[in-house]
Amino acid sequence: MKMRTYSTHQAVDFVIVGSGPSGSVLAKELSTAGFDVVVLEQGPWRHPSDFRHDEYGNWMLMDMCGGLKDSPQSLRHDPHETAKLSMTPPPVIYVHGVGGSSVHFTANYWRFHPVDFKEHTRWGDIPGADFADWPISYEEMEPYYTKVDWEVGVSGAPGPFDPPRSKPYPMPPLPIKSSGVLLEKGARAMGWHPQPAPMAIASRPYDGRPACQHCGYCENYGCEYSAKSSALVTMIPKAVASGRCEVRTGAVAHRVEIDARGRATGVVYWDGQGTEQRQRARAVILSANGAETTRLLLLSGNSRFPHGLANSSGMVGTHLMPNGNASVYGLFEHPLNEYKSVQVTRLVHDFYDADARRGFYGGGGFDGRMTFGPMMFALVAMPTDADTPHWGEGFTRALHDYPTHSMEVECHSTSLPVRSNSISLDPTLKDKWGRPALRTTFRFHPDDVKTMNFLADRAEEVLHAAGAKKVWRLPVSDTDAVFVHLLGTCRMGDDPATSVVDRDHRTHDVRNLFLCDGSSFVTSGRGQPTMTIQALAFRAADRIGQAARQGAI
Amino acid sequence: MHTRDAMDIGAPRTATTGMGLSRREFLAAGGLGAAWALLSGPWLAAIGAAAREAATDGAAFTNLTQAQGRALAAVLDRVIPPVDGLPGATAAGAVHFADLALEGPAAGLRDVLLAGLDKLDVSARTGYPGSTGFADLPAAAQDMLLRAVDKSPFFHTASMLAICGTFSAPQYGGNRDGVGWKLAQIEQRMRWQPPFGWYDAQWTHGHREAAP
Repeated sequence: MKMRTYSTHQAVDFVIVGSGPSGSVLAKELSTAGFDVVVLEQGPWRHPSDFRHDEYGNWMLMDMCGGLKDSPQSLRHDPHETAKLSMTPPPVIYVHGVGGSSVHFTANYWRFHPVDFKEHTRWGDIPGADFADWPISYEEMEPYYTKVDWEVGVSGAPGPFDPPRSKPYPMPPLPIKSSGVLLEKGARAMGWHPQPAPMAIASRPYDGRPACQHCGYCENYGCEYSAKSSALVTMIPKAVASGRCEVRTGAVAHRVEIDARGRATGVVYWDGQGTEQRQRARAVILSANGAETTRLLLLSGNSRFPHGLANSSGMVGTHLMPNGNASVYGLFEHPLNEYKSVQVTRLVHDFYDADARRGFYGGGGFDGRMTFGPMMFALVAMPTDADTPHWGEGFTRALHDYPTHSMEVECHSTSLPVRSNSISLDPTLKDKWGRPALRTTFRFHPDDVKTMNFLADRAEEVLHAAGAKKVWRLPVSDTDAVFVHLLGTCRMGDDPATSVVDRDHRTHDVRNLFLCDGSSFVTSGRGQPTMTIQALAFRAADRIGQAARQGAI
Repeated sequence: MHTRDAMDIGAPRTATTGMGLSRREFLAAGGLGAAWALLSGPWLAAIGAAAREAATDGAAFTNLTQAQGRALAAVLDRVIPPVDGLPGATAAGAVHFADLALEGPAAGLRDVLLAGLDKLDVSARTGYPGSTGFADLPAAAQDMLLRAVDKSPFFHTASMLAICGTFSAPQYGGNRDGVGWKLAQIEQRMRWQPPFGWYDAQWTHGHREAAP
């Protein structure tokens, strides 16, 4: 079908920056509700036929994640340091292109639990962190989680620790893999409660898309079958089919324009030819992720907003939360062949809640999988010991045995909101367009590191209990974070002095400017944030649409 | 920037596994991904034909001299040597991957790599009078010389090239006929059916999965 297009001079109802997990939901919901929507996407429109089983291209060259030469970034661990150029890899990693990072995500779709929204009430203040409750509750979010399950397409089955749900999963779990069987076995032996993993991957034909063919290339790859429920094949086509949504690719947004009354009038961007364009709109929604939404606000300051747009609180860019991660591996006697099918089929949530008896705040879950193909496994995950020297004949033998006979228990956990952990503008480094580069400042809170190590200890136990011949882990440290979950940088709250957006994602400072993506998070959850990002977007679309109809924008 | 990144390879790492690259460095691109990641699209497009040519034995090198190519091939072959009938880096044509990568993502590693190869040749001629260079030494002697440098940036670079050249898709110049995947017992197919491995096959026999 032909996509509706709009003139840049014609003020549309909404211009949305970013076509990823949240922008695509907002575009679909608002356009099908009758609003005119333009989505600005800096990257290209890829198609399933563009995706490849290419470990080197996807992992080493990161060829869907933008030109690293065009978009350099800097990193530091303490706010008094001068940030250094960091290409090895860049700190913030996300897909540039239609569908955003949902194109290459692993598709773990955990809901938040009720406690995730109200942990400050439960645990009180935590030194070194700005712990706070969300202004909304799980009960308010539940209908929207269900909407994600059914409209985006999630496979799964309820587990013993799951929050209440109003409707069953639309699809049964994907077939169990050897990593799932071994996680089940080990966890049961430990007295824990393994459960099928909820995955945004079709386990049977769904909504015009085929079921997963178990090709094995999910994490960090695009799905050739469109079985992975990425925004690219779920929300975006529905938005376009509404006849009221244009997705404009190659459009690099660099300023939200504000008039003399302090209202947003549109977004200024460079088109594919590098020519500056202006999309006028009655309201602006930024869904560019926790890093780029921040950068866009900081670049849109003026005399009225000297510290960046919507930043009267000084909170824009602060409290960056990437979630904790820990990787533990086990070698087994028989082949698991984890290179086949989806990454994850079983997980354990027995340690989801924080527990005062541990002596620190934090919680999380772990799953059974193998993240890497043989190349990345050899480069990252192979143990170094007498049996597995890092070169020579023993290395060749290990390259033969380990990739198919190993599994990983991957731990996902809380990261606390620390004010100095942030995204900001680098004072000297510039990108290809002359914009200040993204600068990441980050060090995990001590409790985050304790939580990662606590979960990694449990992961070792589960692998031993499952009968692993050998168990090893990657070390964790307070500086060793991966910024693919970009959370908390424009936190939601009722108080304009301590938050950037209100409970409806409207900025406290600019009435017709909304932010909806991972930046709205108040606390981090336990990893796997995309489900919550999309549930927030469905909810935001309801609230924003309602306000627009009432003339309240 | 290239040089700095290339030199960073030998810096102390927090990790103790694999090549000693930390998790953050890797979950994304890889420590050497450093210079590596500064790829250019045209390079990717251009290597196709060169890679097809390289896939024949004795093919000429594009970015290495014949002598450098022989020396590097010898190093890569000691990193992943053939053993027990398993193919090594030479069977995979990893040196051709490396040769092509030197004009693309690994351009920033060129100096470190070539200086290291020169040094090995010098050590070979000094330590083994009469030898013409590293490539002509017996494997045991090559291993001895490599053990002396196996914590160096040069060796990390060579290891990375051996691994990437063995396991990357053949379109990048190595992994000839998919021998890297055969080494790792990985079969490339567009679809699979359960059971996928030994343990889930047992499970399917012993348990009844919930009805779909």
